[in-house]
Amino acid sequence: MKPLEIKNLSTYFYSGSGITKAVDDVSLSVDKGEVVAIVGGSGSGKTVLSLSILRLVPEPGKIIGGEILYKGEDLVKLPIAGLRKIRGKGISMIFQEPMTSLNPVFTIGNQLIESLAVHNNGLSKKEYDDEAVELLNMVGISDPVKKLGAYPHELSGGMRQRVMIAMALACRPDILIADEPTTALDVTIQAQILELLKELQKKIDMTIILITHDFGIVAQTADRVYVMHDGKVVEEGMTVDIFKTPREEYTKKLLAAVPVL
Amino acid sequence: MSLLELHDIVKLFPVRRGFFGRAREFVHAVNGVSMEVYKGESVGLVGESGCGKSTIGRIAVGLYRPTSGKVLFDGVDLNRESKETVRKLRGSMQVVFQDPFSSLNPRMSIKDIITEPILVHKTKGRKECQEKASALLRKVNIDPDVLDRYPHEFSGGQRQRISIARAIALEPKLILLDEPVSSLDVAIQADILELLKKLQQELKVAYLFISHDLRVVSSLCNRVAVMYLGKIVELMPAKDVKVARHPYTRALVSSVPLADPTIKKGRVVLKGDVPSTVHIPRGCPFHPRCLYKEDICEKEAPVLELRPNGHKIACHFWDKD
Repeated sequence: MKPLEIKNLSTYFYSGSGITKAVDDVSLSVDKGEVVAIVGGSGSGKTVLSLSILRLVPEPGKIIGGEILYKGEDLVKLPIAGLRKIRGKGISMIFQEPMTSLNPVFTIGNQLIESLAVHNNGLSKKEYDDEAVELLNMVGISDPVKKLGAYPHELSGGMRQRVMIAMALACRPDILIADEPTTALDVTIQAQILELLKELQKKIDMTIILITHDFGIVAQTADRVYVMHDGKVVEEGMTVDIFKTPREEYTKKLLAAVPVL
Repeated sequence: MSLLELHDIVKLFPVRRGFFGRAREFVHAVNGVSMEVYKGESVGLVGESGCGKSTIGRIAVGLYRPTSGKVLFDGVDLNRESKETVRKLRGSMQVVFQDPFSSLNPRMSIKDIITEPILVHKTKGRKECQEKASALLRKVNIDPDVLDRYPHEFSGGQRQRISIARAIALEPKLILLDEPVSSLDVAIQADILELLKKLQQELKVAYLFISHDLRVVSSLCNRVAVMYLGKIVELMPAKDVKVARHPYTRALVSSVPLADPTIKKGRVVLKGDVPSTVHIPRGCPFHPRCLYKEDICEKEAPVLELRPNGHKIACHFWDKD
């Protein structure tokens, strides 16, 4: 069974001026251990699609139809209590801006342990601390014991994104959704984070859904690609094939837009 | 002839103050930078966050005063002339900022935004402004019907076009482009870069282009200066970026994602982050992260010198493989 299968998903936004079809009849599937990229320009619906998977679509957006099958279970119909068990443990997410996604008034340790505690309660303080240190180690943060007591503003952008990844990995999810994980970062740090994601993916055997607008990043990381435009999937295929023989005009345009050195 | 000359610019920002308000520690944002921009050319400034590239840009257009060093714009020393003279010069240097959502006033209509510099510098009367504004919008490929609209009605790419229209309103000699495309997606990025190229040919304006993305810089610029911790470490023609010699430039080049899935290249992934700019490492500032570090690098800072390959490089072992 595929770990994630989306069938005919539609998410619409209702406003005074009409309906915006952010995600319009999208179907896709993901195999175990794969890195799948969802590529599109701004406004193509890629972020709303990723939010829909965990049913985090903000008001006035609504999933109006379709199925999201996670291990055969339809997340669209699942009651909130059941969904909470999957968020973070089954499917986890990292967001675009590490600057705004961490809470500035809690320490890194606090926030890491919070995401741990939601799914494994009843451990002692020491066990939680040890686990948090191990997570920070895993994402390559030096001196993790000291960093547990640090506040987000004391860390650089790259470090914060590593902490976000550590939080997302806290419960060893099957699927990690990474929404533009490197857009706000410098190229050198971007390279580090992408290497890290690939390495972690092999280590804990997870599936990654990578959301990006940059085909340069896709080429270096993804096995398979879905191209989105105006809420619809316009093209899909193996990364190598898409680069060699793109069929859709929109894909060609995105490929041509990648600046080369 | 050079339009802008920077001579040995140093800029310190005080961070910690003592009991009597005397500054005790400083952020060394810029640490002795000399460079020039010629008329009508575009120079790229590249580096990681915190390397001082934006500070240099702001000093170049007179938004910051350097702690020491000299800025000559069109032969005029920005820090010695009277405020009045400098204000007049400001018309010939304009800026496009990174974030198109905060650099346009949400309460001003597009027409007001674009014509504000014209009214401030009184190059044209109010009546001529309407026409000029339409012409400027057409130049940046926006339909002039939108003059009475407000910034929130536009997408990021369109807003950046509006910022560009404002910047060219006075037909400046120099435009500082501070990460103008970093917040846009690649397709829109490419359009804006095309537009900038076209405008440069038409207006013969010089660009000082600040970015962390080498790909963007090398596609638009004639020359590229790579900065690290407040210093230029390599200055070269943009076409030479791929054969750059400074280990830091090479690491930057190798972190650029290649748009070709069949090449799995060996990356020189830099370890760690940029060190604190309050305590800059002794000797070569890059030595703690450098792969080719030797003893001399910890003691002696290399000088930015013109090397036989035509690049200016600050490295003791620039010719080593």
